[in-house]
Amino acid sequence: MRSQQTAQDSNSSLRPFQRFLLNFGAGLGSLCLLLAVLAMVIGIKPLVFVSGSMGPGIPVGALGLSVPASVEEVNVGDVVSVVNSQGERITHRVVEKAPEGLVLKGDANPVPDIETYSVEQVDHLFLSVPGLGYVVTWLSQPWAYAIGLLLCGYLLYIAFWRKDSKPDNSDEELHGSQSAEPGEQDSHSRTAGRKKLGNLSRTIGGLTVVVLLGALVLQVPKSETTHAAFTGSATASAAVQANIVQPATGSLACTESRVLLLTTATVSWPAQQLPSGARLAVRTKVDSSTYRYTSLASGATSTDYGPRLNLIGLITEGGAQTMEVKLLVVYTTDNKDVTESGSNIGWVSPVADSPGRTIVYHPGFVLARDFTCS
Amino acid sequence: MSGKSIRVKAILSLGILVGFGAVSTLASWTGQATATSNISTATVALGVGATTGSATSASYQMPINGSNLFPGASSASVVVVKNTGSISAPYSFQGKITESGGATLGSALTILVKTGATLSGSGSNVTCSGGTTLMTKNTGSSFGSASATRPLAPGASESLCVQYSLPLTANNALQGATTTIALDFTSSVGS
Repeated sequence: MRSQQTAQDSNSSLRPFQRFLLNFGAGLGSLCLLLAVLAMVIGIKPLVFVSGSMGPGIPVGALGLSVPASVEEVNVGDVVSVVNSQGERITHRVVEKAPEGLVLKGDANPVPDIETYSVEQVDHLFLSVPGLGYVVTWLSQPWAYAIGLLLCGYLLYIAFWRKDSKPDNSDEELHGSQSAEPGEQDSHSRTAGRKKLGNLSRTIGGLTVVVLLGALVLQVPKSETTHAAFTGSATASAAVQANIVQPATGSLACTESRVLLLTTATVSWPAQQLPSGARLAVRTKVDSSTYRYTSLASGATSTDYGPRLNLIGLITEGGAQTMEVKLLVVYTTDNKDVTESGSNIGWVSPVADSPGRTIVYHPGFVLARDFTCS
Repeated sequence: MSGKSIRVKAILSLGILVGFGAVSTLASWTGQATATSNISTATVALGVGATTGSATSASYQMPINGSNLFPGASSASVVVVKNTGSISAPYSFQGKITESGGATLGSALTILVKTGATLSGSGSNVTCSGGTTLMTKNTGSSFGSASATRPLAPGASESLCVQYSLPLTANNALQGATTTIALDFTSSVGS
């Protein structure tokens, strides 16, 4: 404040650094006012990038400017800013406009964001300046406000009060401008009453402005910067393989046994090793396109084709006919016995590779039909 | 410099304060205060692997515990996901099926992803027992949306158990089919 006192010797001229401060303050202040007006009128939003997922184009600490835009106005490749479901602001590039929302991806991220942003309004980034975000963030801190306040206070002082003070009572003047005590006026050397009144109104007006601005500064939230999510990713994969049902092993043998005039054909096979959950079933081809299945108990090694066998589809008259019999390994979809029609068969061993043989069916009346080995 | 222009300039300089206020006010979109120190070059990275010690790579082929699948059978894999970055980062995962050979084995599988589960059983009946189910994919459908996010501190890891079950109703055409089941892990930090 020493320099002020000497500067006060001349009312009409200012020291170079005071001129500089005035010009600097006026320039910066005008820019801020302009930006504030733009922000209010067209909704320009400053965005400070606090993480590097949009790097290297938009590095950490960049300041971006955005304008509100509807989703329809946004194209793939644009950089937009949205708020995710966690309430965090994310500024990433549009990679897809899906029906369910925008798919965004950080330039430095290997994969798109997990969340698809279902939004109607976004902030479209139109400018970014590397490094400026640091400055803005720095300026948003309370002590930066304090410096701004001091600067403004000083400039107001040299503009409004300095000229009216006398060289010898600058200390009182300074005191008065800071504390705004009513008695301040008494410590001044007497001047014209008109000037006194002017001084008083300037002091009150200036203090009002400062107090209002101070209140504004205290009111606004602490510096808030957001977004540009960084993403890490990794993939774990597994090759899952389905098994193949191997055909039953061995071959089918057939033996005949006779009770009275009727013959029973018994088809048999070696004991089978079945995979877990599998069953044995015999498939009998009763005509050119009809198959009948016989469910077998686990561990069974034979099945009988005798006079009492009453498979659906078996004709009851006509000449003898050969039938193909196949031993199959099957899985049933309901984990129950194989139905006669085979409707509940899921997986089945390959028929062509399964052991089979033919038997001969001799139709007749209910008890008069029988089977023989071929 | 005239007194008037000095005064005009001094008043204009008050715009600095308005500017400060505007920037912070307009920047207050989330309602969550974020300090300056949050501007950082922190890294966010995930590793996957068999164990906490080896979970450092970005990709991992999970071995299958259990035999190849028959209808009604199940097998399982274990993967450890680890935060290898420098800051705490929640992660989520998304399942992905890559079918091969024209068969749709992956679609037919019922898949569970659990945390805190242990492998149990052997042969055609290996399951993830106990724990909490984080994701379920039913037979006949594809994976749904990504899992809920799970917190993961730097250096911390979480073991996940993935269970593959082939239902009894599996189509016969799926015999011998193969499919690749992948879990894509993503961690994301918003600030």
